[in-house]
Amino acid sequence: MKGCARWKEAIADCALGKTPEPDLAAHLAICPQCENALRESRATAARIDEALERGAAVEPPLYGPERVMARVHRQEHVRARWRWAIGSAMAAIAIVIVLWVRSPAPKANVSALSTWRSPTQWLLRPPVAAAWATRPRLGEGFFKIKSPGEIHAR
Amino acid sequence: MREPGPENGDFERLMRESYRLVYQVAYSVLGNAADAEEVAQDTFLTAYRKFDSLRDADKFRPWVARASWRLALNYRRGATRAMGRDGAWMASQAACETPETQASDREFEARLRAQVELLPEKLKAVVLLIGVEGMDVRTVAGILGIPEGTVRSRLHLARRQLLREVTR
Repeated sequence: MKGCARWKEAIADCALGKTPEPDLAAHLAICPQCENALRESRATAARIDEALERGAAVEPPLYGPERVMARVHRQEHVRARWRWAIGSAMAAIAIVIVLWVRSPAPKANVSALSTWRSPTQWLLRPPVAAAWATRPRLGEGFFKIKSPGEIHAR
Repeated sequence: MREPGPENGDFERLMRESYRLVYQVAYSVLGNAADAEEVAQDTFLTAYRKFDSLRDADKFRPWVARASWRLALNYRRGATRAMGRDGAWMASQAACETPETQASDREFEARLRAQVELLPEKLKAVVLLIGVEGMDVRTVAGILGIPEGTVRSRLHLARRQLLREVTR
């Protein structure tokens, strides 16, 4: 059996489905221990495969597809509301733009514009400027001097 | 010109047909019924949003299986809580077995479960997915995005490691 250790890996491969090499096949024919090891390894490999399949064969919950559809419908509902909200907002913006474009432009008050002066001109003007603007005519003075008769008559 | 894809009404039928597969794929990654259920739900919601882009109804099943696998991996990465495989994993037993056989099987499965958890991630993915009902090498290769030959060699390595460790 000690000399059979070198066949260990080949026996494992064979147990997992590989076709035995001719030298292994010849050894198996004359070595009952190795033949037995191969048989046991095959049984264990089959057991592993069965256990792995059993491990993966979990049953999903029965209500799973219903929950998916419920979430799909909920998602659709939310999307429909968003679509409606976005559509309404777009329509409102479009209406505002149309009204703004079609409304007549305000008429410019030309006469008001022509008389308009910058307020700084008034601010820079000294208080006596009004008096400067009034030029006395010939024979008149800036200050009217009343005669004594006019004063007393009051 | 684009081929007409499946109608929107087909979604429910296709979803019901592939729900079990999607759930089991998620379960193979997470090993936990509640998490697998959540991932399955999220997978189908994502699939519903992208359903219009699906051109062939026959591709729905592998499509959602792959999506479930990716979402489950993301879920596992993102989960901060301790995640453990629940008792359902490998817990099903044939009703006709004797108590002695059941005890022996339980012990064997506990050892196997521990060894599967110790496998490198790449080998573990293959060995868990191939166990899912209806999964073949081609489907697993499609889900993992690797060649079929790689799936076969990884499966062989995984089974060999499990065999060696379980019989030790």
